Amino acid sequence: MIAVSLCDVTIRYGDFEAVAHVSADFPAGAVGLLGRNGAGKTSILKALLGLVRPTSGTLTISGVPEGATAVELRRHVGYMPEKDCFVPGLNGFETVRLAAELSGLPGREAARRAHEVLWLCDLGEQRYREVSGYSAGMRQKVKLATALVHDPMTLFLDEPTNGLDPDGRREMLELVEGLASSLGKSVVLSSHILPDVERVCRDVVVIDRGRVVASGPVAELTRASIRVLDLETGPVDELETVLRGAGAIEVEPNARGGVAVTLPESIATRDVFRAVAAAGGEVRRLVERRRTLAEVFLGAVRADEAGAPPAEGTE
Amino acid sequence: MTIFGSGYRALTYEPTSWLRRVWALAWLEMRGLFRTRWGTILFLVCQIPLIRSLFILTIWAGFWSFGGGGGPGLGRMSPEFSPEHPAFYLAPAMSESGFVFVLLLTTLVSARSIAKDRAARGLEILWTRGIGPGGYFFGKWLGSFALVGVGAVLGPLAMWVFAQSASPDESFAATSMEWLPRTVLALLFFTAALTGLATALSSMARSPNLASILWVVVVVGASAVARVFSRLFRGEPWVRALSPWDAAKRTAEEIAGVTPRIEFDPAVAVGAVLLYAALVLALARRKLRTEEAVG
Repeated sequence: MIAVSLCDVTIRYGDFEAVAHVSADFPAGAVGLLGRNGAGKTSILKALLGLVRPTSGTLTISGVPEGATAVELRRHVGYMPEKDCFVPGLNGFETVRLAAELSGLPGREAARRAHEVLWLCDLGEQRYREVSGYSAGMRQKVKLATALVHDPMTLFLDEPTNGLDPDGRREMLELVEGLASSLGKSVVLSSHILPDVERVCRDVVVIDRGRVVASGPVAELTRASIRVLDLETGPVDELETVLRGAGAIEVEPNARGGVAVTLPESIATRDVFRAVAAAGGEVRRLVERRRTLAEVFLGAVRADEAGAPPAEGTE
Repeated sequence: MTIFGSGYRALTYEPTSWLRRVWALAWLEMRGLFRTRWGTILFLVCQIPLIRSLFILTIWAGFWSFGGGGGPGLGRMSPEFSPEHPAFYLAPAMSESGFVFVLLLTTLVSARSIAKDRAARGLEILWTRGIGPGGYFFGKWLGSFALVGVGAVLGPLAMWVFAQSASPDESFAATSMEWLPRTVLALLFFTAALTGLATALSSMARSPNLASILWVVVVVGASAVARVFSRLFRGEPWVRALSPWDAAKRTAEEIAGVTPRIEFDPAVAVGAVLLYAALVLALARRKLRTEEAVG
């Protein structure tokens, strides 16, 4: 089932084209929306929230009637902003109740619902404290509660783990994971923190310079047909040139002090051994692994910059 | 508690009307000043002109007697001291002494209303709901109008009820009913115009303090300029209309049918109010764009 569909969407602000002919389907469940700063993610979110009208193309959100006004559309979707934002002077409960009332819930139901989602987001005990005094993690949770309070089918979460410590991040990811897996919500997760996306999302859409450069299930995109070797060698002059000569697509320093070598399917591991040996060195450590989502993302973005279509798992 | 064991409840509800959604915002705005002790104290301070009028009313009603000069004798001093005259009910909001207090209240409430949300990025939460910038502006204005109106409109109306109950016969009711609707309309117009201008100016500032300063500068500065210009261009009716306060006041006085304190053509006053309203609303519309809400 497709939760959100973009069909040839272009968004322009004056002469600036923020999004250019983007077509992408976001399946139900959790989907990551990835892209560098200025890639067009926020413009897409604004269009999905009815805050900007696409210059051309169509946006479809599951459950939203065709021809719905922007206000009607927002009744069916929930949005968690990236940046720190709150209504001054309000406590957690009042903030969420106001969000509910503005979304169209009657007063009493709005109050009841606000209590429920605040408990759900683990803020039940702190709900009568002023939001301006909340910690970063609590503010993220109250934003999630406002996104969820009117029971939308589709949620747009912009950097939900922004500014959180490891514990807060884990809790937030559990909440987001639960929204998709336990509550059956469709979640579009926009984030720069790719391990978070990899943990929570089944699918991703990668956009760069206003275009989709990769999309599909995370498992497929990180599949080992393009292999990555974490390699440590003895001293070899011009190791990168040697490995590229052996057919490596990418050679990047890794965290262990060695290099991460990306190989296409056609190149065997023994070719790497031979090339290093021919250069007068020896392989001291070699671990073959799947590509991470970060590597998929960077590969797709670089391929787009080079003007070449990415090797696989992309559209 | 985690989301898994929460017993999450799916909702089925008939969405409320636009007006009720806007009212939720207005109600919040109206109560905003009372969230702190200082806010409550300042609100009470701003009611001093009303309390003064109430005191005069009690003298008129014979609750107090100062050397036999009370009661109807008060009206001989000035119409502002006579509950039998519409000027008495306009005075808490529109007299020279009322100016400072109404300015203070509109500065604390209306002029800060949108700027404080903008500074805290609250617009990102509010506009991604079931209202747009128009509804948001209307809600903010309605809330501050209702709060300022407590002292400027409801207070005088309550005083009229009190005067009515304190008057010995029905002649007060009979005569006052001739001017009361126009007086209430004048107070409503005056309050709506000032809170509307202040709310619109609020949308142009990045911080609530800046918005407050902007509003005070516009009102006090324009009044000062109008006074200086009125000496330079004697007899020119448009000069006093340079001040939004004077223009709104002159229009309200015309609606109420009382003798104006500063005489100038009411048509010029109405035109000036409409011009200021159109100008600030156009600027507010440029500033309150949904594109700015996210990101």
